[in-house]
Amino acid sequence: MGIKERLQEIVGEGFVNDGAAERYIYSQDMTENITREPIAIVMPETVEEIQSIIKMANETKTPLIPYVTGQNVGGLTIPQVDGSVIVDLRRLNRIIEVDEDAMYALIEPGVTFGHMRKYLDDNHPDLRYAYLLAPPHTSVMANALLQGLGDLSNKHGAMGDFINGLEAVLPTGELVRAGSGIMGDNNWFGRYPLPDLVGLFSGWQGMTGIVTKVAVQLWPKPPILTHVALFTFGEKETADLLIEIGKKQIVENADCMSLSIIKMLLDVSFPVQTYDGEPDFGTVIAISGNTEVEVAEKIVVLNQIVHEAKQTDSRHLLVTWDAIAKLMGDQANAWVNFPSDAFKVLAEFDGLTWCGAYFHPKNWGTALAGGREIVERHGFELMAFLKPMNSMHFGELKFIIRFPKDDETLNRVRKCNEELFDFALDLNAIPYKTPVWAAKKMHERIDPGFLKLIKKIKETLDPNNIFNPGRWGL
Amino acid sequence: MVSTTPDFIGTILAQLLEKQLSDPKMLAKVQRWKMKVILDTNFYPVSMIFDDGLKIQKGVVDAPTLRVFMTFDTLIDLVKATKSPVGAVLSGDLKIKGLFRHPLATYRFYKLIVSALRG
Repeated sequence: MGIKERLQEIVGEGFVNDGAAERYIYSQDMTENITREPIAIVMPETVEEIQSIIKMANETKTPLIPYVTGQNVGGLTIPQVDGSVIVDLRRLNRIIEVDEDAMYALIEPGVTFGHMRKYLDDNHPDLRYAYLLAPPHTSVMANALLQGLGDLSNKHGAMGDFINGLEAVLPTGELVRAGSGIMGDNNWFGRYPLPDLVGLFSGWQGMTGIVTKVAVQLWPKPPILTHVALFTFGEKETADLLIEIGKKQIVENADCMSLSIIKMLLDVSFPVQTYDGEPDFGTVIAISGNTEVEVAEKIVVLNQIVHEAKQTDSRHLLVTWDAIAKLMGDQANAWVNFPSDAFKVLAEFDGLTWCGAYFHPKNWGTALAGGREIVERHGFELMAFLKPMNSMHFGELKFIIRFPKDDETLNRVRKCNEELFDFALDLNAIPYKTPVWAAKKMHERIDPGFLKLIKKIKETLDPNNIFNPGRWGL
Repeated sequence: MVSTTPDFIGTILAQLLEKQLSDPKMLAKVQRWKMKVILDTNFYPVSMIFDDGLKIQKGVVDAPTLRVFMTFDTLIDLVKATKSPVGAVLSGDLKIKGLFRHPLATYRFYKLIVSALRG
């Protein structure tokens, strides 16, 4: 019996596909990363089915690539070796439990951000989960396991920090738990004090098994939430101002972006150019509180900081949202919700990519300026995005490129991203959603002990190397 | 109705004025105007050329009818109506070169821009 037939036996005929069209779709994502077709796609619905698939894969030495909705924009679900099977987890899509006291949700891989928001709004209106910087049909679990970011990351850190615990099927088929859920159901309140085994799955890009449930932290919805916009000039000046604002701990969220992105939201057509005299950056800042007075006082502090920055450059400008709404009309909402509402323009072509990394705050200004020079030299739109994270302990910076996937542009994108990546590594940044080519570059620079350790862990957990082989250059 | 260079201020002004000029009566009126206005902010100047329609372009045109000076902070105050245009002129936050030579153009521009900024 062939692999296809064995998979069909496990999940049923309707949930295995090896058609040319399907293999083509799963061979790529929107990025410039090299494509490779899987031999089949299987869509399990239960943990038992996943265990059976893994058992079969170990017997036949079939590589497995965990996949949910393919929105990672990092080439992370593209098989690195021939003969791979994509394990599409979208049918596991239950929100199993929401605990209002300990404020967490236990969910399956296929639960999306759109799904989660609607469910919480309908059933637990006082609670919220972070909202991400991607389309609403992105998997909550994948975003958390990839240590991505959302609109609460400014305060609470990367989404990996939102994980309270998880259940996973190991590459050898055993079902395990990590976090306080080891004491039984309805108990997913946290990860400590324990050996933190969530770390065996978080940040591994699907190399260490399939996570079948994850408990993620929810947060109270603040009674008052408002936004202001900050327009700034100069890379270093902008970075310094954001650091100053961040350290006051008054801001719920701050998304700083090149003005080109805001102009793109205002329907300026491709390619969006920059002009002398325009602000370099627009930052949308969310401020929340329990009362109007609390929010107003936070805005007073914000005004003071900007007022001080104006002594150096009087053009820096803080604008309340009522004015932004008048100036930008409906597009003001698209700015607040960037890039969810803007995805149609970001995805104007068939190609979309970014080179992003987590940076030490001291390097933000240099990174913004150096990245700008690289992107402009390669002839792409300037679309930098900087998000201070974890109460200002670090920040995510990326340069977004939308592009048509013709050969010439693909090559140009690859060169540009490679240069951006080298530049980020020179600043000791940690690349985010690292594609394989980039991970290999990291190997040359990172602590050799770390590399040896992750290889050892991978070999121990996955002796047949069936889980996403080649990923992260391992 | 309104054409513009794709700069930040031009794009915003064009969107605001498009809304005003979607009123056919207003459009008919504005299409009869012949004047050039420079809006000179602390970001950069844009020129608004009224000539059988409206063209907005980044930079300064020759021989403007009016030249309006204000910072972007003042512009935002006008948008939020925390400052009136007359108040801004009186306080010196808004200066208009050509005010006395072209009172009709000033009046027309004032009416159009205030209604556009206030939405």
